[in-house]
Amino acid sequence: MTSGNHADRYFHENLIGVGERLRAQVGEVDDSRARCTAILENADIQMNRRRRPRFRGPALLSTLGLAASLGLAVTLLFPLNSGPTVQAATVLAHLAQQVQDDDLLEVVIESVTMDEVTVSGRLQISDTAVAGDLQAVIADANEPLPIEVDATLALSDAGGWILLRKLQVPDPNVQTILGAIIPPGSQLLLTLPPDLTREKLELGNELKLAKIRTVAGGEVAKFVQEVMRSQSAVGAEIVSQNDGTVLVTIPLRDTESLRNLIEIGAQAMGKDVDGDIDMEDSDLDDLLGGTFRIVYDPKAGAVRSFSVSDVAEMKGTVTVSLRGGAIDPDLLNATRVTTPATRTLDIGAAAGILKALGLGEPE
Amino acid sequence: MDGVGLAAVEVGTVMPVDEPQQVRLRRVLMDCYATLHGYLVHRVGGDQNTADDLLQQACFEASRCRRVPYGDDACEAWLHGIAKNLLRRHWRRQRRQGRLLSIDHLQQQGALVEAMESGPLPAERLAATETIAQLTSAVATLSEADRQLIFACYFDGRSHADLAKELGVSPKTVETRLYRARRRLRAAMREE
Repeated sequence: MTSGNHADRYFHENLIGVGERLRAQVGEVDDSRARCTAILENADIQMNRRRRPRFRGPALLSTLGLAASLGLAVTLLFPLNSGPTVQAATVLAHLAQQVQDDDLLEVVIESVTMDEVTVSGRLQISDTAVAGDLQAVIADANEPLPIEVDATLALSDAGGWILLRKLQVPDPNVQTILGAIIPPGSQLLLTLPPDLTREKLELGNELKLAKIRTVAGGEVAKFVQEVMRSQSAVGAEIVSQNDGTVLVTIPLRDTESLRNLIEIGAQAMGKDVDGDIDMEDSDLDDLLGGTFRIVYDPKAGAVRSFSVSDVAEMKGTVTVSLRGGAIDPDLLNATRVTTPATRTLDIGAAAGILKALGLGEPE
Repeated sequence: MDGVGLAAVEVGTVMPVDEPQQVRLRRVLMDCYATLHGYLVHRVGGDQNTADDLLQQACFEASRCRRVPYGDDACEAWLHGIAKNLLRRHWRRQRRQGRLLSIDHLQQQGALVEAMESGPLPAERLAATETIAQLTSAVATLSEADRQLIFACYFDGRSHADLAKELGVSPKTVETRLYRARRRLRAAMREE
């Protein structure tokens, strides 16, 4: 075995040797115009492929927007290292084990922007129903107008509906046809058969979206209790509220506090901190600037709500409240939102129209 | 509505005063393609296919942006920034995948570091694709600062004095940092 200094010196010299060979190889790289053109053409194809399926019908709102916002909120609460989807699924699965059947989840999305998509809305979610309002704007630099959707929806085992107040697409021809379906001043009520709504709700349940409930004890409560104990290490601010709950605010100001927070989260979930957590500073830097807020009920030992603001590429706030009771039955009733000017269309017929317009395969 | 074809603009096109930003972007991309591509090939250890993928992604990301910086120089610097960010993401992914490397690969890395510490390697081993691949996958596991330093010094061949000037530290500090980065690289290559 070579002594330490000699070993380092040989290693250094061999690295220089490898670097020289690499530079020689790079000099031989094909950077011809033809190769450049091929790469740029591929990027063009990628760009067009992305643009084409931009509008995929109202299901975008009812399923994907919700899944993305909620999954993101939960994922960011526990930013472990096994990929966002796996993290979210793990956390949700853990939470699902602790739920009671009659609980309700309320999600408030306040101007959440990711890339070119901005979503706002308020939804109530139970095991058997989803209802609420959503507005989405998808702004594409290459399009003269953004896609805009303003809708109220209710999906339950018994069927569902989506009321479209506004549906704007950039293509003027398509907009003209849509204008005939939803004339200015009117709105469109899309009705969904029970089979379809059940399918959507089952998908939600598979994703565990409807199964986050009041957490009495368990990992999340343990996490919050530990955060409160380690207040200074994670930079948390704790304020007692009039209703007996405490508001725990965790601004993500520096890497060290964030690392401590992640470690506490991992421990609460029974993860091995040394073995399972491997986040370098540059990963953590992406999360800095955001804020977590948790409302905790010390008497019940339960989390009442949590919210995530301005974390990573997400701007805006997502708040998830957990409470008992069933979904407000009024929210499921379409007559509360319809007017005499409302037109009604079956989703099957609407899907046919969308397909005929070349707006992608409705989901 | 289709965008302007990325490949539609030829090098040397004269920029009209009101040149649309997507057209300008594509022209600048063609102009600085060789520099950007060379930079990426270098940084991914000579793997041209990965560099191609990264450059394509950079073009795609740039095309999606609503505001392209004015002026060709600013635009080129901006494109370099996008490429750098993608490279950073690439290294992060490599780092995560590094944990999934086969035992064979790790044993080969261990054997390589032993050989590199024991004396000068023969020229053919220095130039071997496997040597470069094993080294770059180990470099991927280092922190951003260590990685940049190893790349700048060994792969780019920059002098300590040059790096010291860029980093605003003394050449001695560069040497010390480099020594520590090497130590961590050697340790990373030994890990099984």
